[in-house]
Amino acid sequence: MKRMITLELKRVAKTRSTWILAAGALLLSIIMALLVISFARHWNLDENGTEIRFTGRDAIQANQEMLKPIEGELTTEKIRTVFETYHEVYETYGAKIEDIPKDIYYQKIAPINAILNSVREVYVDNSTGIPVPLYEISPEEATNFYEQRTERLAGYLSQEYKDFPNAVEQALTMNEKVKAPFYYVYGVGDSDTSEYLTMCIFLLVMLCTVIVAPIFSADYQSGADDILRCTKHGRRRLAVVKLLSAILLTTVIFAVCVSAFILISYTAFGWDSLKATLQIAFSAISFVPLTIGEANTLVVFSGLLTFLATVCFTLFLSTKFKNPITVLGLALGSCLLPTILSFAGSGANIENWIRLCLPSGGVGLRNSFFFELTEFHFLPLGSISIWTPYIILVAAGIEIVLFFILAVRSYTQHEAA
Amino acid sequence: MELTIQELTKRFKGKTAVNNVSLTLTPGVWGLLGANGAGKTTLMRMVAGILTPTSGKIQYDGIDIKTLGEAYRDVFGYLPQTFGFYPEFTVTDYLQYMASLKGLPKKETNQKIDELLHQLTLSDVRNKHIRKLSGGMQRRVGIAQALLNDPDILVLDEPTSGLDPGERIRFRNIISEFAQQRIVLISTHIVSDVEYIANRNAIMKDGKIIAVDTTDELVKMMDGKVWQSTIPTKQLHRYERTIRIITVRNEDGGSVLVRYLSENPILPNSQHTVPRLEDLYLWLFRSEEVVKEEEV
Repeated sequence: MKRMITLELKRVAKTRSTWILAAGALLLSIIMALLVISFARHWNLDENGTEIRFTGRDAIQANQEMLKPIEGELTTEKIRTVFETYHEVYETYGAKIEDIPKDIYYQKIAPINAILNSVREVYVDNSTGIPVPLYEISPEEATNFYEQRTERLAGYLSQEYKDFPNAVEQALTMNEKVKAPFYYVYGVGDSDTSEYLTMCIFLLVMLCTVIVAPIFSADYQSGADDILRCTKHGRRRLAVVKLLSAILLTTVIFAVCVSAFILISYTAFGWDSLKATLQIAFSAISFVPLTIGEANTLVVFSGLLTFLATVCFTLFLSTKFKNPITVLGLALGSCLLPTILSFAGSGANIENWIRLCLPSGGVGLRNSFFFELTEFHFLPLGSISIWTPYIILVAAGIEIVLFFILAVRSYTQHEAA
Repeated sequence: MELTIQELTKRFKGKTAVNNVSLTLTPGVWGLLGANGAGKTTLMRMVAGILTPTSGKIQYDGIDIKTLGEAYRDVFGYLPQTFGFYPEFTVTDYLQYMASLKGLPKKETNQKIDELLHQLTLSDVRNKHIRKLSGGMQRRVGIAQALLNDPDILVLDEPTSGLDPGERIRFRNIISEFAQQRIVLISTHIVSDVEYIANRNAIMKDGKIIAVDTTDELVKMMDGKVWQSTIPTKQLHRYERTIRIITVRNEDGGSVLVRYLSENPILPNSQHTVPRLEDLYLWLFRSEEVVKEEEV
């Protein structure tokens, strides 16, 4: 078996298209990581008082310096100090940003904006759902941030899932594990790293679909399969070997590309920033008890499951059709289907179930595990509600095994035309 | 050792490709003759186990080949009509890949590959990509893979197509040597390929086996039906339309020596001549064109 896998790997790896696609995937991953870095922005005033803009690594460095004072645990004391600063500026210049002199804004408000945004999200008028203006929140009131946050989350969930108390219960139970005080370090959480990591995985899924689409079907088409399946190990064992080799090869491509993306982006934004709490970067009322680093690790893990589910599904299609182009069309179509559903769908529960349960349900342009992780989505299944990231993980896990078995079965039973 | 084909039938969407064929193959070279579309390839694919019969069965030493499964494939070698290979592989890569699929021990593989490459005069191109080889060389690589596991049953579908006369003679010698105590089934419509090496022949027409016997016995069926006569060249055109001419050879003095098939002599001064398997083929497949060795 080991020898067969080595030879099959050698065969697939020797295919020119595999090399081109693998190199393309690596290049894309590097480009995407560099894009994330290039999107970093920092505005400030120069020595002459002229507004200047930094981008890329310079912006990251400038932001790191500017936000250094608020880094660390977001204690109630720190929130009070932030609000005292805010009120000091507000009482002199008012609430409108345009009324605040630029030097004051960059000196006093810009460094505390991340905290102000979190507070803004938590303090909401319960009757209207509109955020309370920051100037109406006193430094004293602001120190209730964590209690207010739990209250706001409970209120939001009760409103959103009034018919599904089970969903509210699950979310609040999970929320109990969210560590307070929050921890903040400028970096990965402030960037588009997570979104682009998802996008990178999506592109890897598409590229590896192209690599594996012809694994079986091209042999049917060329007639090579007629010879292979007449050999001693040319049925079940060959199917397993081809599947394992394709999975192994594409997983290596996935690992190399994702590692390249992560290494470049994390190094640029700082590895320390991975310790930051997810709530400050995305939504203060998120009930997911993770740091940015843990959330991204989960995105990679889920991405790998989705990736493997799609690869296994494509290999299954490859055992079914004689024409690799047909396989490729169907596989790419199924990769894009969750994205199409999330753009053009009505949002009905059944539609969401289908979208999330498809092999590529965990990655897409507007749908992904990452979006589900940072949103508040539950889907009903009878009397219970299931948190959507769980659906993606479980569906992908089942599909990997299911399509692997179906592919072996389909290849073994395949009959030449 | 015996491979028994029992009442084998294969239908495709209303068309019967193989119709109730029964045949018992014993060790030796078997020629499977028939025109294009006679059902030879379908029959061979069923023998190879890659096509399921609509009805009937194939047994190897009394056991259904389906039941034998891996054990049957372990003693089986096959070269299909279309030799599909991996274009990215060199000759050696491909044979090593096939050897692993055939379960050859790693130690024996290289020796076996060297041996076959030498026999099939492929040693010089062992590190070349198969896609860069000529059609004849590619075909020889196909033959090499079929022989890798020293199969007890070797099925070759049109093995000589694309081979030049020298290569075909070499192929015949290899097969003759190889066939000792083995069943070799060669399908072809190039009659001369099997005439020299086949111990027995089965002739297929319209999905049925219409004759099975040794080459000599089959040829005897043509006794008294093969004639030759020398006629003026200018008369040839007239006779071509009315009689079954096999060969025409130019002679001195504006005449031609005509070899033809007929129950009775038709041309003036006709004389009996020694029949060949090719004559029987033409006799049986009156509407078909026989492929003569020199035309290939």
